[in-house]
Amino acid sequence: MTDQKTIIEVKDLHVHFGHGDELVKAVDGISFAIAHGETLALVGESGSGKSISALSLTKLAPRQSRYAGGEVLFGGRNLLALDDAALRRIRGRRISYIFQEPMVSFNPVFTIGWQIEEALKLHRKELDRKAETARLLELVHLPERLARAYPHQMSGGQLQRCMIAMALACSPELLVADEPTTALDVTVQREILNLLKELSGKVGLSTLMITHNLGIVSDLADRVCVMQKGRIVEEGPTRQVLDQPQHEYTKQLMAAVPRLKPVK
Amino acid sequence: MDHLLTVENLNVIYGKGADAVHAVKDVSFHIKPGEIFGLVGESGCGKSSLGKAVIGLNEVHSGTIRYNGAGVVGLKGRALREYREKVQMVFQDPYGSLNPRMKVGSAIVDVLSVHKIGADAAARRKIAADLFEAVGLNREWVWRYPHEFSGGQRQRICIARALSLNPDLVVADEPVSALDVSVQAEILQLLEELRASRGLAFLFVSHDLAVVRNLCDRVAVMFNGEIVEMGDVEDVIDNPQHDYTKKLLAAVPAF
Amino acid sequence: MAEKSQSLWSDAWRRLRKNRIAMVCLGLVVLFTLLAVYGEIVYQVHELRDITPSYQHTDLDMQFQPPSAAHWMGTDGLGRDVMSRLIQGVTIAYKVGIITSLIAIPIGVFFGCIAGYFGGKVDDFVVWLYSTFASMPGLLFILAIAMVVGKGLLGIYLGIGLTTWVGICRLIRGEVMKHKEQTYVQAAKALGLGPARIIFKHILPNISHVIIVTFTLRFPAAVGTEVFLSFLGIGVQDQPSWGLMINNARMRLWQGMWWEMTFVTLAVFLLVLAFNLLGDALRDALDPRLND
Repeated sequence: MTDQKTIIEVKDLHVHFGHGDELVKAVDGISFAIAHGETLALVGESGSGKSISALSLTKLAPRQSRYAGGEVLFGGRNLLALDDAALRRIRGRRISYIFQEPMVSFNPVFTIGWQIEEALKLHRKELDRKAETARLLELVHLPERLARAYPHQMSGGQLQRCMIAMALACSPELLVADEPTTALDVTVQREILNLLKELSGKVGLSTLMITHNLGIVSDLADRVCVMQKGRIVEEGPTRQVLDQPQHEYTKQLMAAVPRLKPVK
Repeated sequence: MDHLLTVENLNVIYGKGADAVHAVKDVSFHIKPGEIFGLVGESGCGKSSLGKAVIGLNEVHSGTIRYNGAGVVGLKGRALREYREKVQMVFQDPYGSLNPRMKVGSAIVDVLSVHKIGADAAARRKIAADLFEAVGLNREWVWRYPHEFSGGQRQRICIARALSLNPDLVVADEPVSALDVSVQAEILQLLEELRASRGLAFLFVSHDLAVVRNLCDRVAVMFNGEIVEMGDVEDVIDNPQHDYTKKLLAAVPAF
Repeated sequence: MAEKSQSLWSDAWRRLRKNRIAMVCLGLVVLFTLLAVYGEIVYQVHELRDITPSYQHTDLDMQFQPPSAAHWMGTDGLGRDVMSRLIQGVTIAYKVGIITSLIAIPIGVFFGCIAGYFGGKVDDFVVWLYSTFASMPGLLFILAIAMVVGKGLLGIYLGIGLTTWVGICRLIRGEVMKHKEQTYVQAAKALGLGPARIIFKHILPNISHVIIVTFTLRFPAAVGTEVFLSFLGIGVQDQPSWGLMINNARMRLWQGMWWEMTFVTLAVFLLVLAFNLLGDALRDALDPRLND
């Protein structure tokens, strides 16, 4: 299902914190590209720079960070060179994010339906918002009546589905999922992973998946980049990297993961 | 009586009347000396409530917990303190479970002085440093603050603190789930070593079946407050009988 | 093994010493403290000998003299030296600020801690207690106490002290509730520590900044209340207090007699500023995560 059209291309991206002696190179020259309909996983441990990389695509990295070099090419433009107004038209509409904590990503005083409609109002004024909200909820397999529910009345898995519905509201070209199932139980995680798989087939979505879980990588990703200390140490098709890791760090990482069926 | 800990028909209920939550329902199991017993399940299944009940942090509604044959439910004051010298706890969050305003060594010395272990302050400081060494930390680090340590090091400190009273059983509530996989592997290794060197038994509460499969001797699977399946870890995980265990195992993304 | 010191407070002191502004403020606070002690001694000596102290010495020929070599800060409406009265006033400001805090803060901290930590019936009782105190108009309460113990400083101490513990009690209660849910408190319980030790040795250092900031903020408020009460005539009677001085100077200010008002205000300003900045610095010094 992967064709050759490149959706986004990151070239030699550098993101720095601090100055002088306290300079931290959070992202230290990474490059990758995602093709239409492809799922790319960025995998690494905490502090590897994987989340900062993902946020940097639309300049969402924390305020104190600097984009010290490189380009993010999307739709023929370098996103790092755009101003805030131009980026706002891209965020949420053409590049959507879903985050780790579904519980705190919603405003507790508004209904779910209201919050999905809000996203539609912002970017797609022409639509019948009620009908579109219902369509989106159906897409993520939630009953339409949940549009009238408040966040606290829903489970973590349901909320993550709503997050995905909101992220898809504007039919984005790229979905950036930052540890989307880490806060969830494994059976719920399974459902969300299945949903993401199904959607990438149905909507033809390109996905950048940030995770520390090699199982999820194996399950979902077409290609994988292994990150360590701000650099990509290994890149390749998922099966190839997981079955025949080349880099020392990838091997270490895989050895550290406890398996359900111990390898003798 | 060769069981270290015996739990029989234990019930934990939070709240009263219509709002009551039956967190642990009629649970029975036992732990032998030097055994690592896994307790797995998803959030809200009651595994943490059960762990806390064992150590006396949760009120028990009914049922018995016996330690070396003696009942421990409802212990108070001096008797409770003596029980807690023998049964210790390590928590999930290595950042929250150390007092940020207290040097990590002081935290251990404080515990020792409450339980009147060690002749004087100097002896207690030496015990603290020895414990640091035992969990693989530099003994010079005793007089640092928690924020100076990484997550894995903090979890080692928490383990050292739990060991300070020389317990026979440690209740470990998701001790590695907040850690990176490589750090996680080191901590699991440490737990294994402690079991071997000190004959420690663990009640290992976890949501991670793979970790349990690699570390534990026996395992109980909890669902909705009940134990739905229990047995040797190879049997339960390699050949699950109950539907819920099967579902749980099928959900784990493998590679 | 390197035997470094163990206590949070000695560490805090080490960090505080590195902070130049804090040390200047500490110097000011020490200076004010010495003046207060000096003033108290002068007052007691004169009381004992039953003679009129120099700061009470009136000289109607010397009314409203602007600052000069003889009177650095000028004289007031009765020809008394403003500077010596100002120094004497430090004593009262200190007594009011510190003694009322010594009454209010322990009460507030104690009740706040036990209410926050134990919850349930204890909490209900404490909330009832402070709601009752808070619902009484503070001034009436102070007046009532003044009726019982008589006019003067004792009435002010008790009045202000017993009415202002409510605020800090509320703050501490909330903070303790927050901290008691933290894992380190759970861990301390699991290690067999008793409630008193957990509250006072483990939780209290984590919320000490609340107490310190409250203390520094109480100071100006207490001086303010003293000013007001003295103005009403139930406060300080026979000693110069900043409250009385400001009250007197207020009426003459528009006639161009600026010195008394200026110097007294400056003194209040410096004292409050020094306490506030020192309090801020102390709060930072008490947090081991900052500036190491």
